[in-house]
Amino acid sequence: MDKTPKKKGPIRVEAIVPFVIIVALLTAYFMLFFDRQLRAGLEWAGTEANGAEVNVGSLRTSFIGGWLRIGDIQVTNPAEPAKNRVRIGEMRFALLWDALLRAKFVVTQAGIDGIEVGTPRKSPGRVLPPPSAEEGKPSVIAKFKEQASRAVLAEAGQLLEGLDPSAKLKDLGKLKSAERVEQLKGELQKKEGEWNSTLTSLPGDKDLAALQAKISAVQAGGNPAEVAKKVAELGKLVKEAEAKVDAVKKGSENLVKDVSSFGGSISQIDELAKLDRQELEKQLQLPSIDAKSLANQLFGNTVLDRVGEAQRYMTMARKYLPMRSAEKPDKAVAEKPARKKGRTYEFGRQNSYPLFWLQTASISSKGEYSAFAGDIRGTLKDVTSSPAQIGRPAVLTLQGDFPKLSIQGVSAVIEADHTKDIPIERIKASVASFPVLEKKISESEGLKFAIAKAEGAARIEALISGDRFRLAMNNVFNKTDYLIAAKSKALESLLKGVTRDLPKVTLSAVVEGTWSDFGLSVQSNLATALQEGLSKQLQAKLVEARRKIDELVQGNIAKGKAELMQRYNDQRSRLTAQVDEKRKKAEAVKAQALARVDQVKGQASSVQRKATDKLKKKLPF
Amino acid sequence: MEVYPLTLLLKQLFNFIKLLNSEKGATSIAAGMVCGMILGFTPAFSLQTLLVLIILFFFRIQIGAAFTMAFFFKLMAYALDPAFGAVGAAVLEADGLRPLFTTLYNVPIVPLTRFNNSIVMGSGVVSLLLALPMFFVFRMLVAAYRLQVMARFEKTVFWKAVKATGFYKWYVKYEELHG
Repeated sequence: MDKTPKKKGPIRVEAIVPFVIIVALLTAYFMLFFDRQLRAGLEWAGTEANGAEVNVGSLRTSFIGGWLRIGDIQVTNPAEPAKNRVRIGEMRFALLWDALLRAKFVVTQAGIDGIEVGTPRKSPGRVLPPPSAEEGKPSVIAKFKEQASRAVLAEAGQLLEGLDPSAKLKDLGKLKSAERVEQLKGELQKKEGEWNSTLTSLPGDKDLAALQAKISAVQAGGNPAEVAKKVAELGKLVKEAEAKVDAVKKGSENLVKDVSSFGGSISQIDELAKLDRQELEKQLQLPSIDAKSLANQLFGNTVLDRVGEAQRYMTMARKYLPMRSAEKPDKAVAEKPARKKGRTYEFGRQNSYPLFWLQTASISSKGEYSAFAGDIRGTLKDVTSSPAQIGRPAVLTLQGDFPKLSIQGVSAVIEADHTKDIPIERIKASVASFPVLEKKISESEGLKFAIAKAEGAARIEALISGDRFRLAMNNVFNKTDYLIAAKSKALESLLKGVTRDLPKVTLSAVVEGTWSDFGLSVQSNLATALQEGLSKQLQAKLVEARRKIDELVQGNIAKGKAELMQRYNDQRSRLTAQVDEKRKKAEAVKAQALARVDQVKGQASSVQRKATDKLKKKLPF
Repeated sequence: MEVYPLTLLLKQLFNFIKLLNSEKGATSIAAGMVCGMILGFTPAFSLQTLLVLIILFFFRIQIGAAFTMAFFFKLMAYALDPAFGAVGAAVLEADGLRPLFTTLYNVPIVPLTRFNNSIVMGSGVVSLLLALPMFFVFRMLVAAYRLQVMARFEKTVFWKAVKATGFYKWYVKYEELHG
C-alpha cells in the first residue's frame, strides 16, 4: 500500500528542536567563552592605551543581572616593566537594563576597590614600542630632551681637571673663517682685474693732454667777432673739461666704494672666527654655568616626562570622550564615515542616554592587607561617549594615603570638560610626602650624581585648552642624601661641598605654549648653588679655555688673513693714489680752460675800451 | 534520530535542489529567495536579521533557497553598499522623519535593529520595496527554469544514461524510504 505523505501546515514544527539547540549553543557560548573573549579584548585595549602590558585576572558578566565584574587588573609600568603602575583588586559595574534595551550602556553605579601602586609583577610586562613621531620628525619634547640631556656636570669636571683645547682638538677640520680667507683671496684677484679696467676707463693723461692742446690752440686777440667765436669755442672746451672731471669723480667714487665694500667682507672674517670658536667650544663641551641652563639640564627630563604624560593622557581623553565640535550636536550625529560600515546617526535628545555613560564610580580601597595598597577614596563621574549630550565634564577625584609605602596626602582632581567646542582638561594633583630613592640628577661616564634618599613632596597643576597648555610643577626634596661619584676628584669634591649645605632641594618648573611650540622654564636651588660653586672655580678656567680656542682659530687663519690684508691694503693705496692723481689732473685742465676763457674775454674788453676811448677823442664835445 | 544544525542546513540545500527540480513548492522557494535577499543585503547581524531567521525557521519557507540567495545577495551587497548608504543617509537625514527617528532611537528594543546606520537603513528600505515584486519575479523564474532548463535537461542522453545507472535507482529507492 502506498504511503500517502501527511500534508504539512505553514508552521515548521520540526524546527523547534534545532532552534532549541541553537539557543542552547548560544547560551553555552555566553556562559563559557564570552567572558574570556571580553577579558582578552579588554587586555588588548588596555595594553594599547597604557603602552605596556595590562592583565585582567578575572571577568564575569551577567546579562540577566546586568552587571560586569573585573578582578585583579594589573597595569604594567612602561618605565619599569617588572612593576605595576597600579593594580586594582576589583571593579564592579551595574548596567541599566532600560538603557541596554535601547542599545546603550549606562553604568549607574561602579565600584573600584583594592588599589595598589608599584607592586612587583610575577614576570616583567611587555612594553609596546613608542609610537613613531609624526612624519618621521622628532617631537618637540624629544628635541627639548636632547638639549637637556647634556652631561653638563661631567663637562665641568673635564674643565676642572685642566682642559687643553689644542690637545683635544687635534684636527680642527675646515674652519669657516679659514675657508672665507681663501675665498676672499680668489675674489681679490678677480677684483684687482675689475678695478684696473675701471681705472683705465677713466679719462687719463692722453685725453687730458688732447684737451689741453685744444685749449692752448685758442689764442687771444682778433676783432670782436673773432673774440666772440673764440669765447664760444672755449666755453665748449670748459664743458668738455667739466665732463671729464665728473667722469673721473663718478668713476673714482664707485671704485672707492667697491674697494671699501671688499674691505667690509674682510672684516667679516672676525665674525666667522667667533662662530668657529663657539663651534669648537661645543665640540669641547664647555659647559654653561648659569643657573637656568644648569636647572634645565639637571631637571629638564623630569619635567618633560610629565609633559609627555600629560599629552598622552590628553590625547587618550580626547579620543574616547569626543568633544562637542566632533559631535555636531544640533544635527543627527554621523560617526565613522567608512565605506561598508556606513554612517551611524545619533538621534539623542535632552535627558536621553548616550551610547556609553559611566555615571558614578566610587573608588574605595583599604591598605591594611597589602604592603602596596592604599587607603584611597574618591569618585569618577560622568565618563561618557557624548559629553555634550549630558552637559557635564568627566571628573576624577582621589584622596588618600599609602601608609605602608610612606606615601601621604595623595590628592588629585582631574577634569575633562569636552562639553564645549574647545576641549579643556584640568589637572590638580599633589602628594604631601613620599619617599625618594636614587633619583638620578646627572649620569654619564664621568659622573654619577643622584639623590640617594629624600623625603619628597610634589604638586602639579595643568590646564590644557584646545592646543594650548600650561603645566606648573613644584617639587621639594627634604632630608636629602646625595650619591656622588665622579672621575674628576675636583668635581667630586666641589659637588660634595655644594650639597653638604643643601639638605632641601626645590624644583619649580613651568611649561607653557602649544604642543608644537612651548617654552620650558626650570628653577632649582640646587642649580643656583651649583652655579655659585662652579663659578668660583670654573670661570677662570672657562676664560682660559676660550682664550686658547681663540688662539687656535686665529693661528689657523692669521697667515692667510695677513696676506689678504696686505694685498688689499696695497691695492687700495695704489688705486686711491691713481684716482686722486687723475682727479687732480682733470681739475687742472678745467682750471686751465676757465683761465683761458678769462684771458680771451679780458683781451677783448681791453681792445673794446681802447676803441671806445679813440672814438671819444674824435668827437667835438 | 539526532538532528544537528549543519545536517539541517545541508538537508535544506539538497531539498532546495530537489524542490527546484520537482513540480511543486514554487511559492516556498520564492519566499525563501526573498528572505535570502533581505539577509544578504543587511550588512551585519541585527534584530531584523534575527527576525528573518526566526521566520525562516518557524514557517515553511525553503531555507536552502534562503541561504543560497543570501550568499549571492551578500556578494552583490558589497558593490551596492555605497548605494544603500546613500539611500539610508537620505532617509535618516530627512527633516520630516527626524521626530520619528528620535522617538524610535529613544524607545527600548528598536535601537537594536541598528536602523540609525545608513547602510542598514538603506538596505532595509531597498529590501522591503523589492520584497513583493521580487517574490513574484522569483516565482516566475522558478517556473521558467522548470520549463526551459529542467524539461530539456531530462531529455538529454546524459540524463537518460544517469537514470539508467544502478546508483540512481538506489538513490530513488532511498528517497522513497527516507524522504
